[in-house]
Amino acid sequence: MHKETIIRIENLKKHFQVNRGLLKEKKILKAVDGITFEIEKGETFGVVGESGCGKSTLGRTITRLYDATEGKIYFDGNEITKLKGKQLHPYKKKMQIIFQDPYSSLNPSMNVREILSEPLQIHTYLSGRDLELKIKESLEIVGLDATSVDKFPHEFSGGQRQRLGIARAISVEPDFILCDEPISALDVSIQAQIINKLEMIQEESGISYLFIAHDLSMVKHISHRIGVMYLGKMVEMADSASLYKEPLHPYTKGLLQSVPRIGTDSNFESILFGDLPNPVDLPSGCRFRTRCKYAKKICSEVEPTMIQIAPKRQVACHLYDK
Amino acid sequence: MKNRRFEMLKENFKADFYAKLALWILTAMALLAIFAFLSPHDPNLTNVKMMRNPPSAEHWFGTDEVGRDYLTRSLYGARVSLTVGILAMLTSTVIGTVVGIVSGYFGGIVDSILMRFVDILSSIPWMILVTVISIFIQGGIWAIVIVIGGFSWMRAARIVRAETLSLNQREYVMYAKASGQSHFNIMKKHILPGLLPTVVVTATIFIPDAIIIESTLSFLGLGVKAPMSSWGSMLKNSQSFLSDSPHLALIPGLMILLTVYSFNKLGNLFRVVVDPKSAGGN
Repeated sequence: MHKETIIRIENLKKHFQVNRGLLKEKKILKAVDGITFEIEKGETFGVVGESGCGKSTLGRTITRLYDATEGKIYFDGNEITKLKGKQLHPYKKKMQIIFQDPYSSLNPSMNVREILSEPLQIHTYLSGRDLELKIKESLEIVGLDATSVDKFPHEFSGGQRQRLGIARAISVEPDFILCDEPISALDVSIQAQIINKLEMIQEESGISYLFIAHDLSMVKHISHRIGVMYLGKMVEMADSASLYKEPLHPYTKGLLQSVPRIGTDSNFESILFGDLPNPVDLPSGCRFRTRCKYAKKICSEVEPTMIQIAPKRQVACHLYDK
Repeated sequence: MKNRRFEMLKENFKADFYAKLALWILTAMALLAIFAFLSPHDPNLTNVKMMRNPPSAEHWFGTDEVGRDYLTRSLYGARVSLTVGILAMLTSTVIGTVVGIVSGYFGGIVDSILMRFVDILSSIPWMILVTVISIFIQGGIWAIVIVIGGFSWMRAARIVRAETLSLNQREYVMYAKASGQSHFNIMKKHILPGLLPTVVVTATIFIPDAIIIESTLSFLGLGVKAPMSSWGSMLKNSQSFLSDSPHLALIPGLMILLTVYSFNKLGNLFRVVVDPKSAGGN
């Protein structure tokens, strides 16, 4: 690889204990179950998958909101998996988060100035005029009126609130932003604006994104590479063009097929059927076999591993076993 | 959001005759208690010639068993009851809120220890706990405030903890954590403001409880000491003359009833506005 990596995770796992009553056995929910990938500087890595597949948990474990159960996280070459308190503090400036729900991601009792000065006051020594200037600069970058610093979140629309979230994240000049479904709660017309804004910021500052979404059509535009996640595992990783042109994993095919298109026959035979299995009680072998129409005998016996198919192209499926 | 709530409160208040009445009663009660010193009678001046007189032009509420003006004593009693009610509410709310936030925010072992402590305190029959403690802590009105406030914050703590658990999952709290904001600042800037409506309601609903507890304690002879009067102690003294002079019991009883009703009424109004799911029911 000629480019530097900003984030590298190795066999990352995050398990939650699920207590179901006093006398029943304790079960383990494997939200993230052994994921390995890296994100280059200036790259956008998209993660897609159905609700409940562990995308958000993956993002929150990488940004250390959750402690990893196993595996390693490297940020800019330094391992941050076990760092705590003061040692972790500088990385909290370099990794910022944009959340999904623009209504719950801004404190309703704080005005824009207070919201935007929060990360700046934690990580910089700006105060008074300098702080005010920095806040206005961030607002201008995301295309909001600098005079709105005294307004409260409820005076903005959903798209504007999401811009505020972006302004807050970029104000401390991070190297990496976790975008946790930042467009899912917005109108389609606004989604494009937000995507363009994020791309513009990336071009100017060389920032890296981990872009989480469940909607494939938007992810395609912003991501350089995409990972498809299913029940805590990556099933396929590829650059976005080839993933869309030629999906390998049956699950990816199913997801792509489920994107509605104008002018196509709606009577197609769906590859995907059924619902997600219970995540605390995973199927044996390949997790996807219960919903896969290509499932063979081996699929219920051996769990497929990631195989390198081509440069930058990996898939975990027995159909591609050599 | 805040403004809409306030508008709703105003509308509900205007539409509710009894809520307006409750506010009037409380205002009148508070004013009378504050300006009790304007009364022409000394609350502690005894007069053996006028024992247990029925209400008259000079003594509107009559006189008690040692000839003291009953109206003046009721007003001074209102001072004690209202002060105790409000101060005990403050004590209980502050302790309950702090314990609840810390418990809900940190979770895990901290939560377990604090909540088990709350469980233990709550499992002791309340009346016995307070009675025994007020025998040990003596010293008038402050002791009562500490006893009532210090042993009745458990419900507030539980409510605040539950609310904190939900606020803790909000994305703005998560953002603050991810950005490295200190625990104290997260609790102060992000969680406390979200809790305020709940805390205000819990506090308002607690005032009448505190007034009743104070009356109970004074009734049992554990509250304020003579010659100071409170509604509870007046009720207690009137026991022996119930058949001869029923007004001695009726007047403080009515005072307690009206005040408690009014606080409850207003508390309920707040509650419905803050938590529309629980709407209805008086």
